[in-house]
Amino acid sequence: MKIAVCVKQVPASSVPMDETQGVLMRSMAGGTINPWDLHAIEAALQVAEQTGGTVTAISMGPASAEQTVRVALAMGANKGVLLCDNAFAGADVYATAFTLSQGLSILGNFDLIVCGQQTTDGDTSQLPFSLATQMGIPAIGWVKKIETITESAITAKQELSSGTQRVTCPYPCLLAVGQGDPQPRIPTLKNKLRAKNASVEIIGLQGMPQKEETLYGLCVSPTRVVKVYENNIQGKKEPLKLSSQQAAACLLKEWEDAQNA
Amino acid sequence: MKTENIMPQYQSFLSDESQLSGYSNDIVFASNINDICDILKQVNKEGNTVTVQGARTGVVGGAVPQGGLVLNLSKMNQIRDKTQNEKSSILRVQAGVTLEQIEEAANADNLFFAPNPTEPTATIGGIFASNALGPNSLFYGASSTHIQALSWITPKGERWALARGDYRFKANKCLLPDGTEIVIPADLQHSPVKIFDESMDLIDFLAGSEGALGLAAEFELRLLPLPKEIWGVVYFFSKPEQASAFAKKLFEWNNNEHHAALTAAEFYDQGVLELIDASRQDCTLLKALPPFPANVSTAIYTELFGDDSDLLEEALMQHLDYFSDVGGKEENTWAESGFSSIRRFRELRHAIPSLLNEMVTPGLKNQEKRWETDFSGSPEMFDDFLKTYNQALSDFGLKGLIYGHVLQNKMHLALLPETTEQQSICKDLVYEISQWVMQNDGFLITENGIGLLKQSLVHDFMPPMVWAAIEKIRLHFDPNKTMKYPRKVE
Repeated sequence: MKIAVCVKQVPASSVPMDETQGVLMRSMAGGTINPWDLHAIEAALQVAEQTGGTVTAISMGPASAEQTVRVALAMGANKGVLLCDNAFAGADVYATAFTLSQGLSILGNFDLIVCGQQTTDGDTSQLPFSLATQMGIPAIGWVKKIETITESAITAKQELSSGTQRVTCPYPCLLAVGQGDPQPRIPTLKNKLRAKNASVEIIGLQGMPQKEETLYGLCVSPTRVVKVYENNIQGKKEPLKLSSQQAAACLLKEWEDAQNA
Repeated sequence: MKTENIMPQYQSFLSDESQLSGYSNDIVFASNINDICDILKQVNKEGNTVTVQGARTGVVGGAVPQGGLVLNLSKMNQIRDKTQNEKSSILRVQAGVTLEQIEEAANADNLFFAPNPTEPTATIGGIFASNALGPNSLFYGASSTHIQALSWITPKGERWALARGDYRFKANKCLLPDGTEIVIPADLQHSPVKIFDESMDLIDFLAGSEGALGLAAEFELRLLPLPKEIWGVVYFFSKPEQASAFAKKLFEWNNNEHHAALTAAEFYDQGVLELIDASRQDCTLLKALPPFPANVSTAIYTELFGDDSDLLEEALMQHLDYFSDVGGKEENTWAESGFSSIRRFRELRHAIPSLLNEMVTPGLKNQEKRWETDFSGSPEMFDDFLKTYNQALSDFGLKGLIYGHVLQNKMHLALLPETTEQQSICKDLVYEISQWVMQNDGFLITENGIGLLKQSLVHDFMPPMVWAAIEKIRLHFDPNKTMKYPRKVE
C-alpha cells in the first residue's frame, strides 16, 4: 500500500499576528512539528507495517520545515518531500490544500493519505477535507481508531461530538486522525541518525503540474483574517427528557424557526 | 514584613514533599536581604529558633519545622539581572527563584544553567542548601560549582558577600569574612556524609549545610552557552546484566577525552519501569509516552552534548555498538535531539521520585510507606553497589526499585513495604546495607540532605568524634543555636 502523510511546521511558542496582512508572524518563534501530525504519522506507519506498504511524508512550508519532514523520517517514514517556494507563501486552507494536492499528484497514486485532524496554529480542522475534495477522494475525519484494513477499503472509528461512528472507505481515501491512542512512537537511535542525514526532496513551483504562480499562495487564498479572538462560549447545555413524539416536535419547531429566520 | 500565625491559612507550611509534618505557631515571609537580617537579629535577641524554607520540595523533611519561627523565602522570587560578556554569563537571582524561572531566563539567550536537579519548582536557595546534584552532575558537577557569588546571611543576621575564590581552604583552615578562622577538625574524614575536602571554596563548604550554618539570600549563577547538539537516548535491556555491562562500557568510554560530553547516565530498574507503566493512566506526561518496548526489564538514559555534529554522531554510533555488543536490540532505543525535545525524557526521569512520593500504602503511616536510600560510593564500584541492592531485595523478599546516577555510583534504592512487618524488615535492610556502604568508603547521604527523615540513620552511623567535630563547626557559625537544623545532635 502506498501511503502519504501530511505534516506541518507550527510555531513552537505563541506568535504575534500581523494585523495588516491577517497572518501569523511565524519567523518570531521557532518551529516544531504540529503535535496532531505525530498521531497521523503513527497511524500511517501502523497501516504500512500491517500491509507491507511505504510511507511518504509531505509538507508545504519554508526551508526550515525540512526539520518537520525529518521528524517523520526519524519515526520510520520511507521518503520525505517538502513543497517549498516563495509562490506558496501566505496560503490559507484552500491554497494549502491545492498545493498539497499538486505535490501529491506528481509523487504517484497514493492509496491512503493521512493528516492530523487539526493544527495548533491555524486550528481550522478544514485542511484534510479541503485536500480530499480537491483530490476527489472520500475522507473520514476525527478518526479515533483504525479498525480493519482490507485490500480494497479501510474501516475507521470516528469520534464525533454526538458519539462514535464506524465508517468504511474504499481506496484511495483520506483519514484525519485525532490525538488518541496509540501514542506516537519515539524514534530509535538508528532511525534518528538516519533521518538527520537523509535527503528530503524539495519541490518548487516549477516542479508542480500547474506552474502558474497565480494559482498558489496568498493571492488565491479567499480567507481574510480580520481578527483572532477566543470564542467565549458560556451557554449551558441541559439534557432534555422527552418522548420520541415530543423530541420530533421540538426538532420540527427548530427547523421551522431556522427557515423563518 | 510581619510575623503571621501559621494556622489556619499556612498549615501546609508545616510540611514538605517528605510528607512529614512539623509544628510551629509563627511564619514570616521575607522579601529581601534586609528582612532576613532583621528577622535573624530579632530571633537571636529573643532566644528563639528558625527553620528556613523555600518551595518545600525537599524529600527528607529539611523544611519541616520543629517549633520556633518559620522563615519562608518563596516570595524572594525576583530575577535581578543578567550580565553577559565574552567570558561569562551571570544571572543574579533571589533565593526564592525557581529552577523553572532560571531555565526560562537562561534559554531566552541560548544559555542554560547546567545543574539539572530536575524539580522545576525547587528554589535555588533549596537547591544550594542540599547541594542537589541532578542527572547532569555527571559532567557538570554539583550545583554549587555553578555559583559564582552569593550573599550569605549568618545565623546572627550578618551579611557576607562571598565571591568564588575569595575564601579558600588551606590546610583545613579558612579565614571567614568576619575575621575569624574556621578550622575543620581532622575527625570529619570519618563522616558518613561528605562535608569537606581540601579543594573547597567557602561557597562549596556552605553548600549542602541545610540551613545549619546560615542561609544564602541572593546568588550569582554562572550560565553556559547551549551546546549546538543535545541528544537524549534511552536504551532498554531485556536482562539487568546487559544494563550493567553497557554501563561498564560507557564508564570506560567516559574516562577518555571526547569531543562529545556524556552529561547524564541514569539507571532505571524493572521496578521503575513497572511503576511508570502502572501510573500511565493518572499522569498526563506518562500517558503521552508510547509503551515501553516489549520484554524489557531495565533501562539506561543518557544525554550527550557537543558542538560538532559529526563527532557527536560518532559518539552515538559508538554507544549503539556497545549496546549491540551486550545483546541490546536497536529497536529497543528511544532517541530525541534538541533541548526542548529531550525535555520529556527529563520529565520521565523526574516522574520517578514524584511517583514514589505520591505512593500510599494502606495501613502504613505516610513516613513509613517507603524507605529510600541516598547512598554513594566510588564510581568504579557502581556494579558492586547494584548487585548488593538487588541481592538485598531478593534475599529479604521485598518490593523495591533502583534508580539514579549509575556512572557516579549515586543510585537510590527505594524499598516499598506492604505491611508493618515488612516495614521493620526494611529498617534492618537499610542498616545492613549502610554498614556495607561504610565499609566500602561510601557515603550515606549524597544529594537529598539529611533533613528529619535521615537523622536516625546518620546518627546511628556517625562516630561520636564526628558529631563533636560537626558541633564545633556549627557553634562557630551559630553560637546561639538559632538555626533549627540539625537537631538530633542534641
